[in-house]
Amino acid sequence: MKCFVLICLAAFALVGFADSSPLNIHRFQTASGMWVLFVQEKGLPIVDVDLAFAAGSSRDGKTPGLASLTSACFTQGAGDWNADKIADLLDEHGGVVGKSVNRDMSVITLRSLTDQADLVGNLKTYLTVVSKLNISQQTFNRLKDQRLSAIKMANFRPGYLASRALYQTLFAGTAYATPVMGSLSSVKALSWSEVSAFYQQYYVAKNALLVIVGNVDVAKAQSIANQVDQTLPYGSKASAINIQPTALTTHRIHIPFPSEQATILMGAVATAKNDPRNLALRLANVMLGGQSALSVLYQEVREQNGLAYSIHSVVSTMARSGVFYIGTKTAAKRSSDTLFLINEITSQFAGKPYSAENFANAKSYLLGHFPLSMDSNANIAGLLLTLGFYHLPNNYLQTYLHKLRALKAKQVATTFNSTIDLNKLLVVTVGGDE
Amino acid sequence: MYKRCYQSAIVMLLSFFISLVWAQKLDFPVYQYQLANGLKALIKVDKRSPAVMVQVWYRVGSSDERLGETGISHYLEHMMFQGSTIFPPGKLKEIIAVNGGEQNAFTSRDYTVYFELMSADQLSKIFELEADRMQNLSFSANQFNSEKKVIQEERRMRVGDSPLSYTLEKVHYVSNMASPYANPVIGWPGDLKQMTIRQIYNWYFKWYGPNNVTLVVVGDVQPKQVEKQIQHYFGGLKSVVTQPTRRYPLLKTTGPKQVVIRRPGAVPALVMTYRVPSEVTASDKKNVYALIVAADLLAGMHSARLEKDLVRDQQLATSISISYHTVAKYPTSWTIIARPAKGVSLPTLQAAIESEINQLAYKGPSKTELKRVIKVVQARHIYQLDELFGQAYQLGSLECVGLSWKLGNQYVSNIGKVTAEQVRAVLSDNMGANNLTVGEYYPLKEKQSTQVSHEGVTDKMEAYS
Repeated sequence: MKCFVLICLAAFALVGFADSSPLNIHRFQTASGMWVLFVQEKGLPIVDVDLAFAAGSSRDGKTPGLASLTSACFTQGAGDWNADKIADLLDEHGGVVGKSVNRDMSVITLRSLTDQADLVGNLKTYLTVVSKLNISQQTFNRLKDQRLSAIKMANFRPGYLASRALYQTLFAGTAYATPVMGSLSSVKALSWSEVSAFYQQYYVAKNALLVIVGNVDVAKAQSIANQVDQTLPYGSKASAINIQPTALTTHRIHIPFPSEQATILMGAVATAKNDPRNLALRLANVMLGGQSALSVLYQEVREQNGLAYSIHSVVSTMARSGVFYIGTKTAAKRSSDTLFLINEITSQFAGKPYSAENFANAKSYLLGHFPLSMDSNANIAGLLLTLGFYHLPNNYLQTYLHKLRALKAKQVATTFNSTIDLNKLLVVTVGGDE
Repeated sequence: MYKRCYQSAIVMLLSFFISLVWAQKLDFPVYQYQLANGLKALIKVDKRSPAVMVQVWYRVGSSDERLGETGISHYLEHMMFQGSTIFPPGKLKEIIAVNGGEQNAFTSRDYTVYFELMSADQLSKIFELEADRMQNLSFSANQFNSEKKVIQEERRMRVGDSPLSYTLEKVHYVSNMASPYANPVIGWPGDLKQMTIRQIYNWYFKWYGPNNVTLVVVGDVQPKQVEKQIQHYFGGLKSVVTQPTRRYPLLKTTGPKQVVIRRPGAVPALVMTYRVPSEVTASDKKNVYALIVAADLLAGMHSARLEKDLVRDQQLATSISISYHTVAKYPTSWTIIARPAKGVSLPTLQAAIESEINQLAYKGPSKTELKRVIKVVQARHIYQLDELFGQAYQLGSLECVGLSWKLGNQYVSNIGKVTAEQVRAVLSDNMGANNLTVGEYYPLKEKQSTQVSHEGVTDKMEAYS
């Protein structure tokens, strides 16, 4: 009987553990060592080809804004082609090139139809754009001016000012401190030779991750990967960055601002992307401010008191560290009331055990939401970028649900409270009362 | 008695036709189903993921509102989450969340839409909740008052503290004179403040009935089963009185109008908006497609003329975009938004843009250019199918303004038929000074604050300047 029970338990454990992977991910390396993650998605005649380089703003060094400005140069000139030529080539085949930069990575994306002529044409344009960046001084000056205009506008957005102050303070002295776009003065000083040097160092195959999602088969995906490999110089992988945030010397920053609303941003240093605590943190965060219906911040600040239209909390993880923050906007004259209420809520959240119902609901939300996050090619591509760039384990998706189910309320609370001290958050306010 | 229409054969034919034109396969069949109480359902099968997107489209929006009740459709949208006679406040959102779903809603000029994204096996739950709040909405005065504050915060966030949005609101009010599109969807602050609970309930009873609804379901579903569920949950609901369709033909103006806004901000902005036919009001729909193509020729693709000439070559602007929402019940807007480069005045920028439009109106696009823009618009249409939300949106929006959802399937071929001559004609007919409203936004000069009050941080941070 005992044997039978053991066998049953073993079988159950196996079944419980082995969630089938929701995505059929092909992983392979090219000759240069570049990793490729590929998922075939039929149904639409489109494909996304995304290249992610370890070329984010954490590599700006003494020139904040360098990584971001470099990214802005793509499609504005390559080899003998100027911006007009590249634009014509892309439009001829309905190709769309996108770019984004954050603290860790720079991503250049191509979306193309899979019709043979279009795909061949768009790939050629895309690879030339990425591998042969070359722009005139006049174009460079124009791009700089456009960037300066963007920074001027950002400097007048309270949300941006708050976020900038938060990162600058939490990560003071580290490569995560400076804003991704840089500042007016730092960008004004950037030269094309600096951008060119940055480009040549970081936009290389050994420093790249390739993601392909769409209506192509494995053979085609491999062929695309080989094309990339043959086009980019091999180069060398960027060195690891060390981020060691130091203890806060201030917990309060106020930026006066002439707005109808006050922006409140309260945060603390959190975890890196591959930290084993993350699932517990995410689960706790759902109950605090991560999902409106289930979160105490939304229920009390917005629903019960009408103090805000938007309020949420986020655990945002990066390569070497992360940020937890609570953000909201409230009428300027009620900013101290709102701040007071949020402090009450967070203090309770940290001090009391989670109710069984709240915990079960939050877990249920994350479990149910997991498959929905893969409902479009674009979302799948984003997921692959995360899995690949941050070296998450190959069985991450398969074991996600199992790990989530296994979490217990007490353990989650301990993990959250020992990682993030809700009573010692850095509070940034922009506009409103001091 | 109810009519059941099988559209699959027609859709298959259309798909086949499109695939002939394209040499691509876009095979998502759509099924149409109507209840006796007037509710119309469109069911589209997309098995790429085990999810379903449900959108409930109510045929009411800001264009049905008068001064004194502006913002009421949006306010009602907020209250629709505040409880019913069956589900207490918060329960609706909780049920969706506990099942891992996402939900939200939005109000527009011609419709109010509630949507959920959930795993496909939860479809009946969504139907239960939507059918319930279609007839049983119930909330307290406290909730009503609290939500008023929330909407006021929303207005501050979206309009008050966004100089460009604030400008656009006033520009559209002036441009849309004597039109139902004049008032903002979120409503004017005075109307918001004075809104009563009785007004909200009256609006709800007037408009929220199955005969004013198009229900759109897109995802990993079985159409026959979905039809059964729709009949089960929505079949017993009572219709409301159908409101007469009002007509507001385009008011012919004989000169330009101008709006100047000064508010705290950083960079000036130029808005140029023209009143043009929509897909509903156009006497010839070809004109609408020509206007779409014209907009993209000028500002909607990598090689667009304004981007090349004014941003790259002459460096008069740092960014230019054009928006044209064609799926609209009444004459709509074709709107240019541009940010000047440093040292460039707004009148200079306006003159440059007008010159470009006139050039295109006079000479028309080249053969290569036309071929390119058609390609771009068609590709974009296909890319938008990647999102379940986008697919459902296309179906629902067309039906809500009185067009057929099938128009979406013809979009690609209609764009392909646009000629250079048609582009010239629509630009000449519509983009003239007599039809133009200009908005100029100038940042107010605030005193230059360079020190931020805090302790401990030694770097001097850039403040707004």
